[in-house]
Amino acid sequence: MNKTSRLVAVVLTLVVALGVLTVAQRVSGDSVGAGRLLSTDEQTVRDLDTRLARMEQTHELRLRATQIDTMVPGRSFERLDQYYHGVPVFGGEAVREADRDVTRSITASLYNGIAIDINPRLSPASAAAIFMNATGADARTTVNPQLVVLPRGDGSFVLAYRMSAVVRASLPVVFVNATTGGVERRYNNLRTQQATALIGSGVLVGENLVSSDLKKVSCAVQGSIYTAQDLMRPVSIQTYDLKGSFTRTDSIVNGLTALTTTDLATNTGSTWTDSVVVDGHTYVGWTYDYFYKRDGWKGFDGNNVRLVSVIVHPVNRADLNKYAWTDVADYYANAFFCGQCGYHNEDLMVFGEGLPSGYYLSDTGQYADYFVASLSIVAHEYTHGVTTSTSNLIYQNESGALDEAFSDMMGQSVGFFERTATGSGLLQADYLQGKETFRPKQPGSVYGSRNIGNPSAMGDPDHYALRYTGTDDNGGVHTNSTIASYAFYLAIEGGTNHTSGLSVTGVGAANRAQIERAFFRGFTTLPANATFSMARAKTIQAARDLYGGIGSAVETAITQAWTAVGVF
Amino acid sequence: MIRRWLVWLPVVLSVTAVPALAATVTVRADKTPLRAAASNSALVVAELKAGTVLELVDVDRDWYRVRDPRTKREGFLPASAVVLQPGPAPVAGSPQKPGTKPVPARSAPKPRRVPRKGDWTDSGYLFVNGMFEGGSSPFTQSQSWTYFAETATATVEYPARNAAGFDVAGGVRVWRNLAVGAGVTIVSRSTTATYTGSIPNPLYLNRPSTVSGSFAASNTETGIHLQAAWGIPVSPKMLVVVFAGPSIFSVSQTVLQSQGLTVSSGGYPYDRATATAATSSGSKTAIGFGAGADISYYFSKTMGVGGMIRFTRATASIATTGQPDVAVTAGGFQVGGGIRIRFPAPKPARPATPKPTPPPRKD
Repeated sequence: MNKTSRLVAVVLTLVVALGVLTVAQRVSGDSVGAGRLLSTDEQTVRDLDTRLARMEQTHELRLRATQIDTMVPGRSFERLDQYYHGVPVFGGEAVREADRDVTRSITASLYNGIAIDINPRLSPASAAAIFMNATGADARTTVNPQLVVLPRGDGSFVLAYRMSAVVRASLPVVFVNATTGGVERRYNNLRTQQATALIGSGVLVGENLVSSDLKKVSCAVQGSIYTAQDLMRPVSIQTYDLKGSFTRTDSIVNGLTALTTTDLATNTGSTWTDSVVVDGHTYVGWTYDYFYKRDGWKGFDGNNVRLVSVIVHPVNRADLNKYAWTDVADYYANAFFCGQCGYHNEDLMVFGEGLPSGYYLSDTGQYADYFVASLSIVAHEYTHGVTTSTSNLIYQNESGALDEAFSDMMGQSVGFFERTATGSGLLQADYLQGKETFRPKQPGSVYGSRNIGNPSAMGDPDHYALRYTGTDDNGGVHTNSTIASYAFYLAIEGGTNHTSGLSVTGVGAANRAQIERAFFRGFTTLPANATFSMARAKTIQAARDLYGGIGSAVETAITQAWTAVGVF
Repeated sequence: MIRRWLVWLPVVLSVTAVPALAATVTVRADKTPLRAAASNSALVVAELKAGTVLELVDVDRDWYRVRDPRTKREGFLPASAVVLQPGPAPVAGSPQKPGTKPVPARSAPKPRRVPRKGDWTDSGYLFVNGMFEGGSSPFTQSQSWTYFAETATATVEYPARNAAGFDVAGGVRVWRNLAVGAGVTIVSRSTTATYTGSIPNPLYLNRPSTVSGSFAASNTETGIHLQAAWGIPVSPKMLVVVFAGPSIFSVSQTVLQSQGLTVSSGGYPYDRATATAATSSGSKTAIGFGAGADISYYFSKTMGVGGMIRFTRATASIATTGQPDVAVTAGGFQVGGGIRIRFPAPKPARPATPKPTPPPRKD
């Protein structure tokens, strides 16, 4: 585990219900480290609940949000942020599951032993200047330095300014020491489809958008002009066509220019001729439908409050060589979710234009086509919006990998939900992420960016022991995601983990909804600094809550799956 | 639908005990055949001598029905074979005196045609029926329209249903047993039309919802029947009439109005669409035909009862804006019964009896 800080208070996931002891016994039977993750009796939960209550009284914990449980009537999840003398502790959060007035479980990542001076010597303006210098952000960019207590990897704490702004196609989060002005920590908070790769010239092979199947575009019409505004779904889904203007895209994504109605994709005539708009707009709608129907979840935040803005044609393929690759890479060969990063703090989903003919990704040998061509990619980015509105997982290290994993899980699930055919072919549902976009170009290259049904086939870890521990890719958020997403796969389909040799009895494809719901409930109720172990505990708990308590096939499958991938 | 047509009163013509007219005829030539009927091919019942005087009983165009005052035998003679004279027949068996100047036949008043057995003599009729119409045909209505970029369809099934109705008809005999007339029938029925529809999902291609339901559909047929009828007296009190002719129907029908399924999707996610039917009443006039038979029994000179059976059919195409017409079938098998009123022909006036020629004065 690539921890960035020490969890002083061990994560506790407690279930206050009859049969708790049985839970513990089962967990022990699965060789989970006893006492590490789960406490086993109601008294412990009551003790922790009492402790949380005391912290609330002293304002060390403050209720930030209450999330209604869409699956179990009467349940809710309270999110409490940790504070130290009025300063928020980055990553300190408790999630308390309440059954009306009764606390059912607590999942917490809290820090104790904090003893620092909360008076900064560095002014916010100075901190912002350091941020600008460190990130190369446009001088017009507005950043709002927020003072936080930052846990360090060595167990110490430091007072720091947390700042974030979109810089080109990245969303750096930078922590500047409020005393020394040094950069304590930084990562890119832009939730992307995959790690960016370089490209090189290649042989023209005649790549075209694969998604030529007909879809219905939910749009607005005025006169003979159709606009990509979905008026039929409860949330506003709007697709903007930036017509390949990198300059405008860059300005909009960086929050310097507002999207306007003139940016909305339009069409005349009864057939929408821009397939890119069709795919992007409809796939976002399909994903909305999936979450609504499967999980009762409305939009990103569960309440249809936040708009869904889709951006297509962020650049022109023909302009590839006009700009520095590092500036435009994510607009060509990636897709990303940028939460509250537009001019009006809207949530933007930006889908790359793909590569011109003759180019391919040098690290994989794949051609990259339009990123909206893959339903799994669109659903993946959308799921980042859901995560941001719920667990808001820190997009780094294990929590970041969980963020990515959840997006892949849901990305595939939407495919199984919406597609009429399953299989390895294009436009068919399976466990291959982004196969319509990433297509073989060079000898030996394959379809897709990740295979959550067989991670090792694409060089990704299928076991916790094989996790990436470096710092690239925010600590391997994409790479390590397959550990969790493979557990998801195993819980559904079953099988044997090649690394651990452990077998899992899945619930079967016909019952995939059970696993999908359990993982949704588990992953959307994690604390921001969650670990794989927390995800295991929360999904198991969700299985118990949803599917017959302890010993159900769902609970068994999920437990076996996490164990098989080495997460306890 | 109860449907009424021309109802034909039976007219029974009495051919016995017909009084002779006050005129005589004198046979022109010997061996003039007296025939059993008004036809040169009819059976010869006797051969008459020239000068034989016979009573004139009736006139049938160019034939005289005559009676021998002595034998009371009756028969038919061509008008050209006799000389018509006014006045009673002379003493039986006495031939006309020689020298008596014959009266030219053309100068004699033309006697009314004497009805024969099988003739229908009524001048008119009025029939009033309650009736029952069965055998109506079910029909369907189909619509399609664009709904969220796909084609929505609706099919309505209108079932056949028997119904009661009212019929009144009258007519005038125009020649022998032939009459012309008109009748009006009114039939109303209420049925329950059932519809099914395929409603596209607003968000997805090829995921239509199937909706179904029903609505009350009323149908009213007003038929005007122009008929030619042929009466067949069976007895003095019983008449059978067969008839046929064009029928003009005015059909009023409740139909699904254009794009008449008001879809209630139930809101997002539109997986359980329901629909209610919006209806309108359409009317159309159609021309068809009708044919049937009637049997009547008269218990007085003018009043009777009877029953009829008829088949009539027409198809009215009711238009709905922008949608295919609805072909509504009118008519069916009709069975009815009711009152029969006949209007007997007025009795013919007796021809004026010519004054006998006074005998020559003997001075």
